[in-house]
Amino acid sequence: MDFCEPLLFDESIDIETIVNTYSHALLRYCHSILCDYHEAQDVLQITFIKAWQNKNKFSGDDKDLSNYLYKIAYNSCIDAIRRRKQRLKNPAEPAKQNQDHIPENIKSALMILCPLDRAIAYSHAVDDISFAELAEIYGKTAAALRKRYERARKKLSKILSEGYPNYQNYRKGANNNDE
Amino acid sequence: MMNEFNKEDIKNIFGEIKTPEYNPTDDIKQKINHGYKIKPKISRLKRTVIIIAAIMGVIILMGAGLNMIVQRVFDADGNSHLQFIPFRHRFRHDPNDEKVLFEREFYDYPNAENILVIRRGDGTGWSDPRRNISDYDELQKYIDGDIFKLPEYVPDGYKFSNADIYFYIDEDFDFENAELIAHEEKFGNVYEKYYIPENPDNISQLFIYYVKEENGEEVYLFYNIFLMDPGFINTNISGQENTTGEILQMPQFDRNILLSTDSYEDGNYFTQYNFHGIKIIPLKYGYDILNQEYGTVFYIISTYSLSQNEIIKMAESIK
Repeated sequence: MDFCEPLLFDESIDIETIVNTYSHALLRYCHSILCDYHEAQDVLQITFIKAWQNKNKFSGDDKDLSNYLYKIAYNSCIDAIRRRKQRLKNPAEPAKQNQDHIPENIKSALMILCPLDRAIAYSHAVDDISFAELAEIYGKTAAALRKRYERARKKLSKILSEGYPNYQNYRKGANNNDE
Repeated sequence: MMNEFNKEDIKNIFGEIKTPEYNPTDDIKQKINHGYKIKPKISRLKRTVIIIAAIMGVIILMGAGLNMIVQRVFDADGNSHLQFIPFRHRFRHDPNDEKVLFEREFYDYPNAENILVIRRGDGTGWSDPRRNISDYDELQKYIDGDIFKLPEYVPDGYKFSNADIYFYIDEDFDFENAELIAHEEKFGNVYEKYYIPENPDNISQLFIYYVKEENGEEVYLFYNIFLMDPGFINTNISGQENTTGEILQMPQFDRNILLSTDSYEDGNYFTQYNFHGIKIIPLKYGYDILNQEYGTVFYIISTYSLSQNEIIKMAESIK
């Protein structure tokens, strides 16, 4: 993660310092998972508010605030995706203007992955977080996360090098082979 | 042919996502200062429905017969047993508890002489006047040698601890000669404590406690002389289903004596109240010695293994 110094949740710290330190990195993280800039902004705010309102629950052993914030951000992203599904069921709600700032082919490829795979791929490849560290954030074993990352990497390779229609054919072939 | 991406390629893919700068500080501060609350994942309505459904489920399960829970309990010997306890006893606060505690305290009169407790209201009746004696010589005053007799033999190691002497009064008791010493109105009842003059002719029952130390624990032996109607003895005591009895000739009595052995091991407990709380004493061995002529019942009950021979020896020494 590209943070300068890890912060501690103690009496001296204020919300402004936390936001200034972590907001951009968390926004990019949320944007990569959600592939929606506006939703990422909302989730970012929710993440900081949740973290601040629950700061007393923050474990004193876990001095690295960033892990704590990433956990909240990831869970908030999942909540946002759930709400998104509910919105799709409600056609009365007007669709927001697309301001994703993501090339269409990249977005299509990323949306093939599940949110956890996107989160792991982003955290490992961009923020260069080890699987051992990721295991603490996502509450899974490092080996399981490594497998998921490898699977996500192969999926992205297939989709982006051969295109989405070919990926669909590849999937069908894989299923037939399974049978 | 698929070109497999490496870590740098994945990083470049995410690099294609352009995330404009955004400073949410003011929005966040405003929301925090205005007590902004995150919308819960489950709405209040849903949560209420789930709670009601859970409560209904428990009620249905209880109605379906799953109304018992198992609890491990320890007896006086330290052995553990599984005990089935109804849900309602385990989880529901019994409103009667407070009343029981109050009455226990109100009825406690260890150092007083001839106290009569009367309860008026929906709980009618009274407790018989009682006197507690811890001096063995003073106890002799109440032993008439005719009906109320003491055993000369007590099994090895047991010593006199104390005795309760109960006095009989009937409905025509004259309260003008009694002294009211406590009056309480609670739980819809009126509780009164009276001090009444002692009348040795009205003794109804002697309850004598013997105690000995066994492996660091106190072991009790109770000797109870109960004056009652001979008809009651025949119909209620010797006719009990679990009573196994044998007729013994005892020279000190004019009539045959029925020595019966009752099983107390199936959960009979004697509750002794004392200043330090309640002492639950499991009764293991009980013998009733009935004198039909006088209408007396002698109970000898022990919390420790006591052979029938010892009991008979003790009964034979009642003179």
